[in-house]
Amino acid sequence: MATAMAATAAERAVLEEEFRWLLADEVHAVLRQLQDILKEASLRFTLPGSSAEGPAKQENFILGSCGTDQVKSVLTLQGNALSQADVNLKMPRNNQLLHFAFREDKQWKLQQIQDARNHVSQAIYLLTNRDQSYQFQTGAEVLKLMDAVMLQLTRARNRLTTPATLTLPELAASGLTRMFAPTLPSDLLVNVYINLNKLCLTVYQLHVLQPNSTKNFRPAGGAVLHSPGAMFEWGSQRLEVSHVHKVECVIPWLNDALVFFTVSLQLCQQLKDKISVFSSYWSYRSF
Amino acid sequence: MTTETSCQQGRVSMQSSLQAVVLWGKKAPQHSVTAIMITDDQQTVVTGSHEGQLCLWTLSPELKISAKGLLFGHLAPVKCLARARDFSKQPYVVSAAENGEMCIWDVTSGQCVEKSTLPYRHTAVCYYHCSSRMTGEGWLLCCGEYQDVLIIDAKTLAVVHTFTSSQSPDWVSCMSIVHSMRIQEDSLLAVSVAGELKVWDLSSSINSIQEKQDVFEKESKWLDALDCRTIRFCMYTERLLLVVFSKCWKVYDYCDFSLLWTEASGRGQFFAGGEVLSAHRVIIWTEDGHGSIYQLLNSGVSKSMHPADGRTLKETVYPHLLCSTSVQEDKQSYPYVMGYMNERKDPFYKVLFSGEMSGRITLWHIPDVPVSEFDGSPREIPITTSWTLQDSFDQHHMLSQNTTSCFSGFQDEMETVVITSSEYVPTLDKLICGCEDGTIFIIQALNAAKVGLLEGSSSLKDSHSHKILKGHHHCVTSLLYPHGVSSKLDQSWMVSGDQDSCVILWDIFTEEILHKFFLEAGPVTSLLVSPENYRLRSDQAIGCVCSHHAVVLLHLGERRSLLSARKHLFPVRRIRWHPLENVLIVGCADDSAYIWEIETELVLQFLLLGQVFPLVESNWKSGMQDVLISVSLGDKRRAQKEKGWPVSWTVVNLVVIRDMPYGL
Repeated sequence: MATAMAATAAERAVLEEEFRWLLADEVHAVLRQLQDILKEASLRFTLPGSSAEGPAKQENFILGSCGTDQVKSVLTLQGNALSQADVNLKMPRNNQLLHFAFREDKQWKLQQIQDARNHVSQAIYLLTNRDQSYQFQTGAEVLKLMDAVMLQLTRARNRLTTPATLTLPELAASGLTRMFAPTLPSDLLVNVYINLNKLCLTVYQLHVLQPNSTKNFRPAGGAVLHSPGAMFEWGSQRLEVSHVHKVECVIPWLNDALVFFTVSLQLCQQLKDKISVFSSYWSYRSF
Repeated sequence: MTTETSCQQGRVSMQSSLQAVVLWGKKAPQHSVTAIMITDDQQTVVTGSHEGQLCLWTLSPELKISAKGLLFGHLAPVKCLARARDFSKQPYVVSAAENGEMCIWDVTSGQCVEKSTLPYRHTAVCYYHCSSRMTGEGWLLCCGEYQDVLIIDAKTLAVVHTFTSSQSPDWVSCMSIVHSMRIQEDSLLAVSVAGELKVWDLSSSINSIQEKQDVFEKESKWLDALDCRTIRFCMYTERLLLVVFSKCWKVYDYCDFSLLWTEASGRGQFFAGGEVLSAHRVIIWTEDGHGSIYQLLNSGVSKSMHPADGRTLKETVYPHLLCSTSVQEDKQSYPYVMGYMNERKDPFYKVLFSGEMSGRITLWHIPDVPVSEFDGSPREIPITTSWTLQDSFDQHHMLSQNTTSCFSGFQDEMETVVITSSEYVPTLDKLICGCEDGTIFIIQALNAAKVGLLEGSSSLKDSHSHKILKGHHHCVTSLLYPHGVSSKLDQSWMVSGDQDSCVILWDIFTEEILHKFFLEAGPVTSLLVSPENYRLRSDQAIGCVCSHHAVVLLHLGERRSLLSARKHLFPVRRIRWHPLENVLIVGCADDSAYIWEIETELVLQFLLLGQVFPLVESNWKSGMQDVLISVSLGDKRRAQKEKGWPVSWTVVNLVVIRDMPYGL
């Protein structure tokens, strides 16, 4: 690069030729590769069952934790929704077994999966709009396209890696609590979310803080996973989390999708870097 | 009149106490149009840009355009624009940006009258007001990267309620408000990203919405196509529904949603939107800026319906191409954002308008009654006006030459010198400018500003108040006056970095070069000073962010490099020194973070986690993350000692911290 300033006319011509090749051929090759990878990723997210396609297929996941067997659960995923849930909870004190399941008429949508799927579709849409017949005129144009695609991919990934942080009252008010039959006991809260490639279920056992309790009441803030001792106010009562049970299960296709996202992001960046090499020769001019 | 004052009045819109004046040189700032609209009075074109600014353009009665002002307010690309009031009463427009910011602007004065940031990214906004049933200023109906349709108060920008789906809720990609003259009711039509059309009652739901009751869709139907771009109801027939998808456009009968026609796009052609011009006449435009006007002809009996499915045969339509708009073929700049406006008041213009990535605005005056040529072939509608920000700059160029040249340097012999970086040092009253050819000049800032604004450049040249520093052979890309950031650093030091990865330490008073560092890490994009509480060895370290995904820490006092952190997979976005742990945290464009130990030049940890970096940064002052990082570093150190961790500059370990957000 040190020679750039002294580059002769012949050298410049060669560089220009190379840059033209990059825009005309190499960019399209990378875009095609990106499309292939992302289509593969989007296949992992089953599209919602429109009338023509019929309902999405069901997958069962058995959730457990390696430590204890106090909570066991079977969750059924249909596309981006939980269609069935079966939760068995062994009460820590008296070993009493509790069982509760989803109402038959209800599904619980995992917004994280839908959002991730939609972000991937947006990325694919951006890419299909520039098919082989489209001629890129400038490097800046390619950079802008890559930025837009990367933004969607980063968001898709972030939706899966960053579950919503909820406060305990938000959790208590959530529709998920009303999904169960028989209804969930008032001293239990549940939460279901995606964390990276895993489907996670947390069950909180609560106990009421007596009004004359000497404990200093401090309501807990928002969190993905609350710890025992977290307190909150619900209705006229003050409650405290006594036990937290977390079980999880890897969803293999989410794992694939995350790998595809990462690979695609790196491909985008590499293409950007290639374009940028030339920008140092034609600095501060549109090239 | 100068370029600066006539064309650009930068405004700091949020706090009205501060008025900033922005001065530009001959080159217009980038304005890659991402959203465009024409106000109801047809006197202003409003564009939103990828850069985050809005531009107001005056539209004359002869349909001539000139730039009126740039509005600063958004920190992210603008996604959509819409009317935010009954325009005849208040000339307000709403803009929504990629990061969830929404601003309401008075387009007459250019002032921002309301601003909010919500955790929603909108892709379309529709203003709705029903004076007979609503109090207040009306609603902004919004859709975007979230489920269903959000109702936002047009005055306060607070969320009022939502329209919810009972069936397959999903993101909504486009929507339209339908007013039926026949039944005097309004409905909201929306199409989800999965391709489902939903209809909500609008005017009859006002009470339910104000009482926060759930409002579900009245009807829904799968449209069998993806990537819906526009949905429009024909208010002239009150029967036809135009739906434009990326690869086809369709006409439906609104009464029973039966399909009347599907027109597929050509190869490599993508539809971007459309509008109903009049009864049985539509205009469709594409991503590459072409517009076509079709007459929808009745075909008598349906060709597309199968009578076997039990439905009666019905009439259908087919399109006949009447006109197409001409485009400037030579300069393509994808994608175009377009719109159509039909003014019902004087001067009755029907206008198709487009904005391009390159910043060009184009208008086509659509004839009241579009017709084809005599032989039946489509007629071409010529471009009425085409304009860019640069055109406005060039118009005033002759007038302002003296003013701008005094800002672009002291090139007595040199033709034009492009300033590529600058640094203002208020304590010394100096403006330092780095140029494309590698020279750096220092001028007295206030004097230069005074001369630039009020007088010609001649008096400045006479004053001998400028210095020229020659040391770089390449374009100067970044400048830093370290003492301005941290008082512990020497007052005489000034640092500059160039395109060829060379960093020079100067004595600003004697103008001599104290040291040259060769980083070999690509163009130096920014120079940063370590925070005051950085206690390692001395306080004389600066960080150089280079475009080859690298960060180099330099010790200015000892004239040596402390750490060269390379091989990040993505460009470096921000860096932080850890005050206690002797570490450098590097945040990359893909939201990953690397923690480097400065003494050993080792990567201690690599965090690949959605939003860890903004979290770390936002908590920096509170000290919370100190605990977090110290704990994780403690573990790592132990692991290093026990396992004899390999000493290398590359990433030694990939650690994905599970459930991290609740730690923060």
